Amino acid sequence: MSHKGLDIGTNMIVAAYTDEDGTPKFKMQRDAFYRIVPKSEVNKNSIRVSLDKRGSNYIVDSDGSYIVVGEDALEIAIERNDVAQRPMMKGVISPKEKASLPMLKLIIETLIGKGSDGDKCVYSVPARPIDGVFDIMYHTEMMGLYIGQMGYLADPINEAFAIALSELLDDGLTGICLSYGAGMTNVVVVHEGDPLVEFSITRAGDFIDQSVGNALDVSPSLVQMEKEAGTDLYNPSSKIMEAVAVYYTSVINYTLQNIAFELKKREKEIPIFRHPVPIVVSGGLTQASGFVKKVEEVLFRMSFPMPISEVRRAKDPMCAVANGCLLASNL
Amino acid sequence: MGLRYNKEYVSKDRRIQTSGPRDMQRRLASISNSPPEVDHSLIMELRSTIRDLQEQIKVKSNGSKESFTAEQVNEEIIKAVKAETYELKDKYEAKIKQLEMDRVDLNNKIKSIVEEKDKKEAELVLAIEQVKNEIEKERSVFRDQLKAKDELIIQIQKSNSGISEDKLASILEEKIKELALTAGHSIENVDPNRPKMEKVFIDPIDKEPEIETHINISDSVVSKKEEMASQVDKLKSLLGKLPNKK
Repeated sequence: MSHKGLDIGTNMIVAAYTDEDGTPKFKMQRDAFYRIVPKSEVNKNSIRVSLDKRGSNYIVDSDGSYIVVGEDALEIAIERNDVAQRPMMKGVISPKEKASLPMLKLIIETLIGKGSDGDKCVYSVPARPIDGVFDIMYHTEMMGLYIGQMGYLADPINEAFAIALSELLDDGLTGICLSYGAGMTNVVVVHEGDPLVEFSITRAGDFIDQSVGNALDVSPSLVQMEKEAGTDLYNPSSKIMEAVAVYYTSVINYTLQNIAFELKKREKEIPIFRHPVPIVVSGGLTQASGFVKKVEEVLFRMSFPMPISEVRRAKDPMCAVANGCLLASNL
Repeated sequence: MGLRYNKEYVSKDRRIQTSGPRDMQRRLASISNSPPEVDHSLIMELRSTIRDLQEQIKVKSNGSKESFTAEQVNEEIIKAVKAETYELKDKYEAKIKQLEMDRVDLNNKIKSIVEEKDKKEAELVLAIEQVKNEIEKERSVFRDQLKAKDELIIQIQKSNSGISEDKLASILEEKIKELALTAGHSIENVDPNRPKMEKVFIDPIDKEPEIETHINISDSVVSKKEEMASQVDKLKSLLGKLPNKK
């Protein structure tokens, strides 16, 4: 019987599993695709040759068009001055994105493969947002359905709680975990392994890309690539990165203020913490240089409703959720 | 046989064909000038014609046994007219009678429809009255509930027991449920064991697409086996099992 963890993110899907030796391994694929429609038979062949040469992951659809999947989808879209398609928006799938669902299903299956009797897969789902309205239930159930169809016993787990399982083992599973993804920022307050408060906020990486793109009239995909190539929040290297740094600060301010507001509102549900607790930040956004320092600065300026011992980044921000899901699948 | 009337007669060598004044003068002159010739065949013919006509008159007068006077004829005419009049009168009287019967039928139908309408109106008025009474009852129940809630809040505030807001809310809810039950009204959510609607999710993908895949994803990060095993052990010791979903 095998165990697998799956982080289904808006931007990246990460799978975690253990091989025959029990060694944990991770596989990730960008959750994006780009369709190229050949204009002629000759064009069709040249596209295939070009994609093979590039080493791109692609699918040949039944109508003869090529669907580039993953990292190259983003690059090719930028080259063609276009935007890559994303099956998920703001952390969830939507029934309105019916055409994208087969791609999402295919990416997941490529990462976790087919399961057999008794194989378990724990997958991450976001919490209900406090500043938006999304059908979290539909997303949770559809992902469970697809993973079940692949032959697994599917079990959902809150994204931020998965980070807690991965990063708070040495803290008695007590603390606050923030998952700064592309679509949403997920928050959990855990006390001795019990997730007391779980919610999400709809401002995250995509908001930064869109805002900078609108402000500077550039493609959000381009902003995303620049951002992922390396961001220094205290020493931006270009006009785009300066704008990115500004919106980073805006997002961190917004998320921490909302977390403080929500914790104050729910203080009856939260026990009194005898000791200061750590805040663990994870997710693609936290890979920016100076992110932790920025969070500490914001916390210092505001009145946070519980004592904080430290702010630290997850050991591997891109794989923390998948790692937590994998650990949960072993329980 | 009818009387032969010879329009033209022969007088000597002339044939006279007209009958104007001059012709009459000529005729007179011809008569006066010469003695008329007696046409015996004509006379015989005339006589026989007269005899025939006389006989005809006789037969006709002998055929009718009686002769009618003017009064009798008048009477007959009046009789015929009266008969016709009576016949028409009967006919129209019969028609009027039929129409009268139809009118009575229609009146009866209208009467029954009006009665039905009145009956339905009365039922509707009664139903509206009942609904008003129900609404009034509900209103009084809610007034009582609000009053009880206010009294409870005052009591709690007075006692200063330090009950949290959530606890207060749950107490109030229980109290309201009690009041509702005693008033004879049931609240749908009273029984937590009531079967709930099953949530159904439909896969919007119609069928698996026929595609040719060229996807090859290699492992990106490798952790140590020992690290993983120790993490699992640590987690099991801390958590045991995953917490129940809320």
